[in-house]
Amino acid sequence: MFGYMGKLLRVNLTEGKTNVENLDLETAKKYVGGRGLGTKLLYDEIDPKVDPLSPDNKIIFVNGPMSGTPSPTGGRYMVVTKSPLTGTIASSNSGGTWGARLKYAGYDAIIVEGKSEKPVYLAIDEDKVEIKDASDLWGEYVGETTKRLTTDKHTNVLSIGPAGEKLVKIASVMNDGDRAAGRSGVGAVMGSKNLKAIQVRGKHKVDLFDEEKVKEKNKSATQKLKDNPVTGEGLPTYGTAVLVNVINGIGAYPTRNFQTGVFEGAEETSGETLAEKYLIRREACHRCPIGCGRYSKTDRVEGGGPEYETIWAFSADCDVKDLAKVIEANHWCNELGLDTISTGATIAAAMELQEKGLLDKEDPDHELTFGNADAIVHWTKKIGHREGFGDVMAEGSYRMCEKYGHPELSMSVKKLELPAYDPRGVQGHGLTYATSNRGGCHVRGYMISPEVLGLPEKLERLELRDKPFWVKTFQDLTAFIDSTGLCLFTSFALNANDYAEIYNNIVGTDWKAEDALAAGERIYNLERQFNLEAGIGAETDTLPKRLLEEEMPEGPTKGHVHRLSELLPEYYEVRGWDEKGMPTKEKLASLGL
Amino acid sequence: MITVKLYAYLREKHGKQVDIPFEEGMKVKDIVERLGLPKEKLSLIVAGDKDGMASRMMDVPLRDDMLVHIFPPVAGG
Ligand code: SF4
Repeated sequence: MFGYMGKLLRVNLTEGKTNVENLDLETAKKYVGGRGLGTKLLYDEIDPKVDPLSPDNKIIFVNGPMSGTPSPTGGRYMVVTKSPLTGTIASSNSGGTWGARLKYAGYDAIIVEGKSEKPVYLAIDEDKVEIKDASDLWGEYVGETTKRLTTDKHTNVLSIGPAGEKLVKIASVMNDGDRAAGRSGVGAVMGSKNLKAIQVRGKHKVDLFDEEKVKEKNKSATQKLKDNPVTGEGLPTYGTAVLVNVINGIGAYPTRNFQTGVFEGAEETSGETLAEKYLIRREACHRCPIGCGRYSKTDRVEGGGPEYETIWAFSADCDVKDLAKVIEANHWCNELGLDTISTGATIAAAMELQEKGLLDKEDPDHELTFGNADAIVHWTKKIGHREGFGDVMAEGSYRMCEKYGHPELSMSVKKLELPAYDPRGVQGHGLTYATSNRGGCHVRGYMISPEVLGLPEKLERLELRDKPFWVKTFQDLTAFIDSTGLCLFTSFALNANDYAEIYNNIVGTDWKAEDALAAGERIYNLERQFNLEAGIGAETDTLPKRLLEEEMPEGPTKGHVHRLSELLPEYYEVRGWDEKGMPTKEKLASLGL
Repeated sequence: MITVKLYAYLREKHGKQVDIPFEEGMKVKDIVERLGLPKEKLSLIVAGDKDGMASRMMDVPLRDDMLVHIFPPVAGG
């Protein structure tokens, strides 16, 4: 078998049993791997209506065929489960080395089911798989857990922090200490199963269909990544945070819980300032020639990050201009195992509730005010430990705002907090938010690329023409890339033909670009199907009222709202869905679903 | 006066910000030429409330007191 290891590891925590099963190669190829294969396994094995935090939910850690191969950025994996935050399908991607290590241990995926009575961790050393007592790790931070379980250089560790243990609905799964499968609260699902960590050790190799061709293509793809100004220079030098000034420059940088799109403190909190003042070194995931990761240090903390989205959530969204505090909040998110976007955005929503006098007087204290730099660190810790009002915030911004009678103040889609681009200033990108299968997410069809950065070509960001078609194409291509085990950032330089070629050389298929896109479309529709059966339908394909009705008050996006109602019908049409957003029978059949 | 803000590695040569005296009829390309910025290394330009790729922005007329942002090709996510 090429590209795939051919084995799935099934772990039943209720019974304390593990079992190795064969991977069905036909299914694997049809759904590629990672996000696609994970969705297929989950869809087949659970009732989409299950309570996400019950033993009936399953959590799947799944690789793509390119993870663990020499392909550039081939080290990414997916965590697929039903999300406790959104109730939709969750698939959270992460880098580092853990995913590749799982391949080296001999597995394409781990399917965890049931619930352990006591805290446990999973220890995998190739064929030897044990469920071990984790009582003395329970309550530990991610850094300490990772340190204690990393026994040698062939071992990598994935874990949750206190947030996941306490079922915080915005908890992440962390691996290699500071890489995060951040979104959708996947950490809480691990916590609900009393599973603290997965330690993986292994030294196998992944068999490749045509080693010579793989080598050649690696060389040319790596060269493309090096020659491209974005992946060869921008991302390595400044990391993702270089976007702070760009998105603020076009007036689409959400500030004070999306009350405006221009942030006064952008320069002090930008990627340029990060590089100048706090950056110690850059970091790269497994086999990545780009190396967009940051390692930064202040006089209080040091560690991985922060990323663009993280900086935004804790600075502009909370109106905080102190980058050192942002780095500190990021540090605590990593240690506690929290999604930085949802954590910052939930604090920002609480700040707006407070600003509008909507919170109970006895509830939060004075610290929840826009611009208060200490508050972002303070409340991050409270959320991670579910302490005081942090317990309410731990439910995510939607449930918190709903509790106070104003769900519309949660800047979320399908209860997942929106990331760092105001849809009023990037119309196509807003459509991806509204229609993403996991809710408000920027990496399910990154329309910022064409609408702002001009990649692969420049579209007018405030115009609607052809946007539904572009969104669909980006969503499908992303679903494919997410399923291969490569990093989405390669798509700034590589195209669908490159991906199909890399896939063919590794797996032994004969795919063209359109086959890759068709696989992506199949995956996208299956996710949609899961959501529909979970009871989450087209009525949730929307955006917060503010973005649809309140004009952007200032800056280069001034006067604009998001024109979703003009885009959505055409989007359903190009997707081959009916006017109610349901995939038609013919569409599903044509995709082999 | 036109305030020009430069970003990422464009700062290495020119610093963060340059003020250029406004002259009647000035266009974006006059600034780019005055500063000797490498045209092929420019990406997004924002001039007042207009923005677009550098190549399409060169003929955009400037007004006094305008703020212009010039970016090299960068991305994130
Ligand atoms: S580009 Fe960044 S996120 Fe992607 S694999 Fe490389 S270091 Fe990791």
